[in-house]
Amino acid sequence: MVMWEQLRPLYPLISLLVFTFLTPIITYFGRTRNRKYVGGIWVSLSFLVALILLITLYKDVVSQPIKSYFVVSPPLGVEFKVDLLSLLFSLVFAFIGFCSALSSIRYMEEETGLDTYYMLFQLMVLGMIGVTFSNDLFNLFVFWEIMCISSYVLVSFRKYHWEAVEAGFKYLIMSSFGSVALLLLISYLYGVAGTLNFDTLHQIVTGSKELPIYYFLIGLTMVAFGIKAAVVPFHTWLADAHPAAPTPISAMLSGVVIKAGVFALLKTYFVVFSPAYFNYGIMILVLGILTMTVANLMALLQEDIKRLLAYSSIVNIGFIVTGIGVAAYVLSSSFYFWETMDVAVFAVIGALFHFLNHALGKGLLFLCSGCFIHELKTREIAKMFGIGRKMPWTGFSFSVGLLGLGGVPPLNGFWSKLIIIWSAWLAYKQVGGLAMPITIAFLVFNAVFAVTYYVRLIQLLVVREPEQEVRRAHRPPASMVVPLIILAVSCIVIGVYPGLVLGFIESSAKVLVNLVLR
Amino acid sequence: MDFSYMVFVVLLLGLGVFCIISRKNMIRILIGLSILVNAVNLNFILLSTVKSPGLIDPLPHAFVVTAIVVDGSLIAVALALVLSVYKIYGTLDVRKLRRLKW
Repeated sequence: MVMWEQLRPLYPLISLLVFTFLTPIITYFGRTRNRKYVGGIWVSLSFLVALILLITLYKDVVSQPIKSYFVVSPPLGVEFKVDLLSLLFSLVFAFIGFCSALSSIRYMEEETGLDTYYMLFQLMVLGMIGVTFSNDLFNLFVFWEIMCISSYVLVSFRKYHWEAVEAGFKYLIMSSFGSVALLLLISYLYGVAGTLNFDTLHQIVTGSKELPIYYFLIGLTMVAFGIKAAVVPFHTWLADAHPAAPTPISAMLSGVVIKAGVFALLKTYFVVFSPAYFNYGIMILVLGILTMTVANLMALLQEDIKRLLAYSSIVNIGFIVTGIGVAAYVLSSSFYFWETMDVAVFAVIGALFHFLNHALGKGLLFLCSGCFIHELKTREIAKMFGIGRKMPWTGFSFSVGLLGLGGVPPLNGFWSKLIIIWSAWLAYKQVGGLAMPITIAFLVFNAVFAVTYYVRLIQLLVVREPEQEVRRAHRPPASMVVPLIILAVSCIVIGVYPGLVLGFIESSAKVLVNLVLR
Repeated sequence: MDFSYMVFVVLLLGLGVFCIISRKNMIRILIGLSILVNAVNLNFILLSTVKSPGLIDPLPHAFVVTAIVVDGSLIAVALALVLSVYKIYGTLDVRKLRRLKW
């Protein structure tokens, strides 16, 4: 007998699952009755319902996390836990999913096999929300694989086109190598601790003395989740796979799927291998700095708009990882307890805030480029000069997204980059040493460097006079513009009133750092 | 607990990685991937006896069954992808898939 009260935190997942398995039927009836938009509307509705259910969870979670399990109690059975951190991530996942689904109603109308497409789309979001909700590695692995396998199929969805198939194969091999690393990590953690529950793992790993195998496992964690999050030595699949996917899926992959990797990295590092006990902050810092610098240099060379945006995603992952690295570095190398905790919380706030801003901004940019591609049938920047003038709403949202990610003051990206840099400065005052000044130098350099090609893109696509080919372009359909307006307005509102979301983000950062130091 | 079986796990892991890196045929690469997953499953079963000698904890077994299922579906998806590659390129040689720039 399953208790309904136990299922309470799982309502978003269950509703999404029910919607998912009704999708093929709905799409089939839509197609036979000649109503081909029904599938897309149904999927958008499912994400909207999941979003509302997640919001209703907020007031239960805000005081303390909710846990739930079936039949067998936690150390043996699997367990779900919803805290503010997982709620923040899953809200963003569902929101970007909703916008992409709205956009794909018209973008995908000429494709076949839409029932598969929409079902895999929902399964991907389901997997991501499940990753954030799970409190042990068993659950996490299962949801992780649901997310991964559906994203492999989605990347190579246009299986008659060479690019999609080739990029899909590359993505599959590299990413499933990461899954094998995750499996190896789980097996060794089980061998060391005898359990897979995060809370119990925390007690056992921090309670035992330092074994050399822990450092091996820390590296393995970086491989396992870093491949999905596209941290630099493992980033080569991203720039191929993200442009090859259909554009709403690119928005999902670049906006939120790589963030699921960041979430799993954050949770495994901060909960299992607590940085107060293990000294690996410097490794994360180096990888983060390497990520943004390499990707920035690569992004400058791109001719293809989706490739450029994909490289810019890697840059922003670098910022987020650096924020996490600052927090881990401070926690591992300082002894002043309360001040250290404040700096670490501040750095994690920066990372989480940048995660939110990048998810909104990159979703917006990819959906905008989807509008351009839908009208022009090309992806080369050189063939879309001045397109923003032909479609004013899209051009406006595109500029807002670029300026926001570039960190121009009144918009959202500025605040998160400022917080990350500021937290690195506070960490320098706390710890001293050379690591922090170098980090700050690279952060400022990359933040300024990224603005150059964002501004160039605005100049080419929005400011310049349209040419002959472009002048014939039509305006995109309304259902593709509405999600752009929603995302652009949320970028501006967060930029002008950062306090609106910062309270939520601060309490979720505190949840995370309290997990480290309990 | 006898760790000598661990040698075979390491050997299998090395074999799988070698197979993925050096083979040119796409199906062989997938076989390498499968070998890797099976090596890790073997590792898991070995480590399941560490904590409670003589007793059997059901968790690793449940996990390994799940992992086998996941691996099966992964390989199925990958083979479907290989089929699409073969339809377009007319070959299974992974060196021919070089049209994407790095």
